Amino acid sequence: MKLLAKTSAAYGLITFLMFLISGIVCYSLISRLLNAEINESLEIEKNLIIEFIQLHGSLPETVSWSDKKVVFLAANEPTQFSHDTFLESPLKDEYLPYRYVGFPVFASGQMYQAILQTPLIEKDDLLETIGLSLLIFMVCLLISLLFLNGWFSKRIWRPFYQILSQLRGMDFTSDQPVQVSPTTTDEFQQLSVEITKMTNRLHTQYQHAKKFSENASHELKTPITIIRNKLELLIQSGTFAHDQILLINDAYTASSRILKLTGSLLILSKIENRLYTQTENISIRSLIENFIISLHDVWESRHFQIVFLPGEDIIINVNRYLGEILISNILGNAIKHGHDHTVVEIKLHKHLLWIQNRGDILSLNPDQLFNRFVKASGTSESPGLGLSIVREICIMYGFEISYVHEEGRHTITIIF
Amino acid sequence: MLLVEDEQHVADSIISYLQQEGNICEWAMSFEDADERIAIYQYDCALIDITLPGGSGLDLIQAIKSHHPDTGIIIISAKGSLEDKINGLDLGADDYLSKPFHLAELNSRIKSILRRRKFGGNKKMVVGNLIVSPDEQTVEANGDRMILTRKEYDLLLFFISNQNRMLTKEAIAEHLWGDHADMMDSFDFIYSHIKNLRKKLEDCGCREYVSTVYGVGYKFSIQ
Repeated sequence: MKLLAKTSAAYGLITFLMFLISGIVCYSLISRLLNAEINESLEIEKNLIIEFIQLHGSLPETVSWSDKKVVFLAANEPTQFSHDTFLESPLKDEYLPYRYVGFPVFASGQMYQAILQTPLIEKDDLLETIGLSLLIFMVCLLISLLFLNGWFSKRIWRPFYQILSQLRGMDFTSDQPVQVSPTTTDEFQQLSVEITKMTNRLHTQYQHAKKFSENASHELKTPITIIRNKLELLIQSGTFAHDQILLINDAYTASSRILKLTGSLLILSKIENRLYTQTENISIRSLIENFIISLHDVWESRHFQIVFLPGEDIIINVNRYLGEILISNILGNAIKHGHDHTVVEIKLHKHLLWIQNRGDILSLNPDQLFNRFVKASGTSESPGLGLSIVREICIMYGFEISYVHEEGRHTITIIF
Repeated sequence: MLLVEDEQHVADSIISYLQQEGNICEWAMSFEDADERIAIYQYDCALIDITLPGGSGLDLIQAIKSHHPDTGIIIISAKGSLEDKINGLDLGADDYLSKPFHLAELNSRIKSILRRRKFGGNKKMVVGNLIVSPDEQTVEANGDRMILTRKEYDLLLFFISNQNRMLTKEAIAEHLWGDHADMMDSFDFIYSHIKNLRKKLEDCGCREYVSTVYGVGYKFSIQ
């Protein structure tokens, strides 16, 4: 729910409650006022009548004007009363409320019951009038409130939406720290300052992390190379028994694996740091053909059938080294995980490279295939960086890569 | 032989390996050091790291070429720096090896350059009962021409360059397939190539030239 809708609903509810309460209060105050007014005017009339009788000793003329009446009835025991009752109105064909005030008078030696009749304002009418006027008032207020609210939220919240869109478009991989535009609203200014601080901090941390992984893999490389060289010399030395050579060889093999790993990590962080700047036009077709030729004996020994359908050649402007890695990693992946005696299909079409091999059903989530250190089997010697390098290269050059798997067919598609 | 490399321990291993092969190897750890040596001495072969403290190895290649054009040059550089490779080869370097490399691989590259430089590639190599003609890429055994595949020939030459040395499966795989060696998790391919080569050698009367060191690799020796 939008902030605007939330505040509007709250405004609406509060306005309605306020108007309901003020309606009730208004009604009760007005009706009490009217009641008091009528009582007062009846009192004045009563006093006038009594004064008149004291002055003249006789009754004043009875009055019957419209539905207002003054009546004198001869009575033995006249009483003092005041009550309201509904009577049929002579003016309108309906029952209307009237107030009766009775009091005893003595004139011309005779006791009389004086009765004053005066019409009361209809409660319905009163309620209707008050309700209607309040309703009109309320609607006007609500409309103006909503309008104001909308207008305000557009104007006042503008910097907020600007900050939001900047956060959304934030790219830590760029070398530029995030800039949040200044505003005049204190709250947003604070928000903007804090966000700028936070993003700058994140940005530097990210840059440090990137640099760190690059430096770490670079610095690891030399000592591991030394280890492997020394182990190679040890194996060559010929002074060890076979079981000792086996131990040295295990260490040698392990050091080779670490070397490959740091090599892959170095490539990854160099891609992330955009250090491969030299580009040239490269034919995907020739990259694929070179790969197929150089691994010809591998295809043959595993009885793979390579079906390469170069539709139209695709020329991409990339770094040659990365281009070679891209192709050899994807195709290498297809061989590595492809079953012997099966077909690997490679197709080029317009801007599309399509590679399909047959292999085991993947035990991992296809979405994770391109993540780092994800491997299909736990025993695999590869650290699981090949396809994440492919993905990074694709991200760098804006290629779209996707993977689909159905019934033992693994398909990787790249849109250049 | 001149080795230009700024990392001492890496240099130590290389020198130690090359000395075992009977080479005399000098080591320069900086650009200035190397520049001086190049001006004074003539080397059969120079191994040059491109990124050096004090300057670029590419300038050293130029200097060597101007003083002693006959010196064989191998560039040693970080993986992926294709510019270094292309520039270096343009300046007259003979070969390019990206770090990290197997010492056996370096040795075989040096041998191949020395062969070409010294004998113009025309010299036939006699190894036991084998006669290898590197320019024609043919091998004769006891007078018969051996029919070898491209990979088998490469493998044999790699063995001959590193005679009496243990060649690990990894070093062999990287020699035969380069970077693509990573694509093959198992070393079965090497085994099948070795098996074929060994059979062909045996058919020509060259028994037990290739011996297996179980779990580690292979060794070539003519006893």
